[in-house]
Amino acid sequence: MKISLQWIKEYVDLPSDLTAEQIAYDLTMSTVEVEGWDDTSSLFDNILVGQISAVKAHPDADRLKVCDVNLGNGETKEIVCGGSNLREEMLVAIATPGAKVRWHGEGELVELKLTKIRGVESYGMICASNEIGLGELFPADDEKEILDLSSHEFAAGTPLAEALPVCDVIYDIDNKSLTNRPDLWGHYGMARELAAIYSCELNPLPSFELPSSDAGLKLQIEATDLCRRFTGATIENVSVQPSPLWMQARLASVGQRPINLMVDLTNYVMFALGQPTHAFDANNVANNKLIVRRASKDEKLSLLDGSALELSTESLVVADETGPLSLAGIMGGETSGVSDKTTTLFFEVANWDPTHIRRDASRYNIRTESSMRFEKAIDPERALDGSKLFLHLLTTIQPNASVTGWTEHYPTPPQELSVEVEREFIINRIGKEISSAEITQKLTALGFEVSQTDDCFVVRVPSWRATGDVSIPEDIVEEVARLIGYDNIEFVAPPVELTKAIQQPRFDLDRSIRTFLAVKGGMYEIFAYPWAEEKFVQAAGFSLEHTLTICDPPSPSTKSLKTSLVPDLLEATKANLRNFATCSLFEVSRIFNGQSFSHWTIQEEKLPAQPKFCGGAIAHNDAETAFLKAKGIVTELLASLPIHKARLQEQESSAPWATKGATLTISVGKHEVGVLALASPKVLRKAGIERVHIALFELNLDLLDPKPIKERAYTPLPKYPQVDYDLALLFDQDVAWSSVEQLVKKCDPLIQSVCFADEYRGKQIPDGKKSLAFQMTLGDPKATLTSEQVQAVADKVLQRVDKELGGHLRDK
Amino acid sequence: MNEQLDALTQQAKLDLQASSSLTELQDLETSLFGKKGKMTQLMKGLKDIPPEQRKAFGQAANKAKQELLELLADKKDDLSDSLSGSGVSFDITRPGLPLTGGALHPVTQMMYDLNDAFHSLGFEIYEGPEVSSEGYGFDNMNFPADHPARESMDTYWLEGYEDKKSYERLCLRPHLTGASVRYMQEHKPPFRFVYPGRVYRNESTDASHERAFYQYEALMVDKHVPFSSGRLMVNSILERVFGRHVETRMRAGFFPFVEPGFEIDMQCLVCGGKGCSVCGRTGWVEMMPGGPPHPNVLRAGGIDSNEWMGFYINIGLDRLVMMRYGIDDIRLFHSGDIRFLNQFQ
Repeated sequence: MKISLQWIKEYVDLPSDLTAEQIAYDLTMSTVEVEGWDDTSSLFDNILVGQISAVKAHPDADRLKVCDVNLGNGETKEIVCGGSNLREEMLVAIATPGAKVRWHGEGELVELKLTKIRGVESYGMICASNEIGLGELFPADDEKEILDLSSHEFAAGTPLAEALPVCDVIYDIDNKSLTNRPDLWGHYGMARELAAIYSCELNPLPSFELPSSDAGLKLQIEATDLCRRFTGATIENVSVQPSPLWMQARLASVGQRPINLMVDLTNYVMFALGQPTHAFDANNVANNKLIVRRASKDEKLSLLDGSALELSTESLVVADETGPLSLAGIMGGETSGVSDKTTTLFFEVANWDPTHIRRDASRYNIRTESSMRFEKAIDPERALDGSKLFLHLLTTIQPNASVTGWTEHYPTPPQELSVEVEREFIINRIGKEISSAEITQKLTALGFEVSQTDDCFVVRVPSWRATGDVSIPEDIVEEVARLIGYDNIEFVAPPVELTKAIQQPRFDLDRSIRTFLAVKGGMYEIFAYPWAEEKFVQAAGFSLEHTLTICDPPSPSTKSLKTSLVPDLLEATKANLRNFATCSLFEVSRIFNGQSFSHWTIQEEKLPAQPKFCGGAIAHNDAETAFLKAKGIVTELLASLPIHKARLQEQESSAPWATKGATLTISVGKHEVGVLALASPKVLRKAGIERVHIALFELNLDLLDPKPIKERAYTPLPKYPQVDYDLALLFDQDVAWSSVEQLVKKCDPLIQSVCFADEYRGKQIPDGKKSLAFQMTLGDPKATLTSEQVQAVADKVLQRVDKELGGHLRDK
Repeated sequence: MNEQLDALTQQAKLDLQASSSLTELQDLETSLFGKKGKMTQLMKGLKDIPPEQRKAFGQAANKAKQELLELLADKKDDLSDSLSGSGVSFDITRPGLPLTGGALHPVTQMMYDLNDAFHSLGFEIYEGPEVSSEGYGFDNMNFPADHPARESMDTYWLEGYEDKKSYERLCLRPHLTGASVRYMQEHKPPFRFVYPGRVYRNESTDASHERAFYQYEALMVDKHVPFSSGRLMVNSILERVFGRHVETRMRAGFFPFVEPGFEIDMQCLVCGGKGCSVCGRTGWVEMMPGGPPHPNVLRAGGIDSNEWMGFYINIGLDRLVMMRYGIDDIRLFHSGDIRFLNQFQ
């Protein structure tokens, strides 16, 4: 919303030494967010009123003219111009060298210099309105039209800034910061705030004596639930002509194009008070009767902007007996408005139900200055101020106009609202000592009426703050604090009691997992959306049935909430393979189970199960590498966490994406907590992933039961030397390493550990065989081993491996 | 003989010093200790020395020999104590061997930094559900029954529940604040806690708008928590995160769940408050809303607003991360693109 400082100054005398910047800062700190401001006064430096004394042909250009221009003080200069409406005696705006203009009203401001145009020296330029920022105030019919000031009595040589009321500071206020303050949607409300901030007097609004008769205008309010107040005035003998220049300038300064006096007046009242109004041509209202009702079935209404509405029966219209005249509170109808021929006006100032206005405006997707204000819950008392300001201005500008009638519907004015608040309450919340006098002064400046007994204030809320904005003691605290200035509140440390140390193993677990995977696992953490891309859900073999779905999803193919992290990981892996040959990704996120509901906090609320999962994907062109890398990461991750010992077992899982025979289930304690497997070829094909294999794992973190710390026990270093013994044996290909390991371990108590070294299949190895190399570490805690002992163990191992698993030395 | 040994040793030391290559050194060693080497010859002369002097000379000669051999070895090391001399050759300008890569998401990193900062102030961590209800999203947050946010399309309502009311109307949570009421219902004051997490808005995306983004909220509730304490909390946290003193200001703002509401701005770190394009020439950057919980919110959490006070802050985590690293497109956070993620190792 735009706010004009000159307009504000009509209502309040601000200290003369206040800068525009200071006002912007103070408003931002105490009231609303000022996004920026424009000081227009410097825009008119070196721009004068000039009078054309002669229009001559340009010697070298058919479309240009050379004008002699009187610049006052007996000074006449030649200026080259291509304007279409140049004539002698015309009063024009002259930008002299040094002035800043916007060529053809576009682009950046450019400083004018003395230049030759096609060989003729030109002392500046004769301006079109949009070249000097006056396009709103003086709209031009075409781009060659020069701003014609001849209808005004200006002396040649007068600086334009003195001739026209155009010097101003325009503030741009963030509308979002105003949503709770319907009183600030006009200049008078802003003036009240500034008066309070700077402790100045707020001038009263002009008064007007309303006639006691209704002069025949009848109101019939049927929708009493949505129409809180409706005032109507009849004004006869008006003539529709342009409004005075000062009013046009005011409206133009806040971005509203002037039209004619009647339209401009309704807009002026709205921008002054934040109260929208509407004017009907009385001749277009049948039988002098305005009816406020819901629209009937199949009713239509053509609006001022030319759009034709098929009205909903929930819409509210102001109608006459023949049909709807306007969409209440939003926009007037095409046929009932003011025209050049209007001589008698019906003038409406109403107060509508804010929720209704918001819904109706969004129903037709029409947002107007009027609807924006009505949906904020305007003070119904303001309707009267609006009527009086309109009638005062109209009868001042057109003394012949006569206000003959007045009537209103206002069955239940709102009750007065008072809030009781203790001084201690205010001080405790702000954290600063404040005197009763200061509290009273701040509140009074904002229009609150304060009465005090002992240390308790009874604060009567003014009507313009009583529509939901201020209602509880905390609201009063805010009013006091913001006027004292939040910058003037010192830092105070809150009292701290010594509490016991915070133990949150579950959050520590989450962090340990992510940190391990990123730092030790060398994986990148991704964020994926909670909704899943259908293509990858289906590729991974999951069903879309029974998932939770979003009403208005980001796209038709992302309707379902995810039930696994695997589809996300496939999608992200695929995208990264465009740039990388291999990749390792992980994600920690909740998944959503549409089948299982339980309460989270309170019994009344049943939420879907949404356990936290951790998933990872490792893509590599070699399946074995991908799988073993993932297995290494998962094994070491689980071993590092403060949880029960984890087991990885070769057994099939329910994961639909897993390759049979390349699947390990992960169990901790009693629970199966996850799975690690190669993605099956079908999954990769359906996901459109080529050239790589992907090992995936998924863990349900909610099934892990973390202890506060990882318990580790020190193992004493061996007192006697240990001996490493390497073996490489041939086995049938289907003999699993795990069976070899288990067997070797139990061969002899001297075997402390068995460590996998290598697996080899290839040229030197007979068909159907493989070579497994491993290292045994032998040791006796009570003595040094002899070489005979070592050899005896080795022989025992060889014998048993041969007998039980068919493994034997290669050269045998 | 002794003079001969001294002269030989002297000369050998000089030659040793003068040699500048391993070959020269090799030659010198041969000329001294080879089969026909001078030292070898001298030692051979031992048998011609009168026996009473033999022992002393023998000791002296051996000492000299050991000394020279040690010096030779030192010199040899000196000469080969450079890459070219050692017989190994590689290019030291090549990049070091890469580690395995991997990184926490930059938003996660910021979240951990904040967790650590709040932890040091005695806050604990809390987490709420991501699929929540109108009850916690709006009712408990002091949103009036006819508030536009409830019906607007900003919230991702779930199918099958959209026409229900309150706790039965399910949605992806539109903000984090609802989770604070869950915490209040589960705990007794005084308490201070943070609850980081992701929230969802149904809007069109561009470089500065996302449908899913992270918030980081903190709430403390105690007997006496004036605005001034809230502001101190904000400053302490920002200084911890940015590693230096930052100026903040608290100004009027409006949010249904706080009373009064504040916008909390931080002085622009890019221009130091002078005004630049990052801060829209104001010198200030909007960091977070905050304020004391509205009495209706405390009431929803089962807390008596006459007895207890509090202070909320709500940090836009994505935005803070974007400021920290100069990231210009919020959509990168959910891109899963390693080219982006590997910049934060």
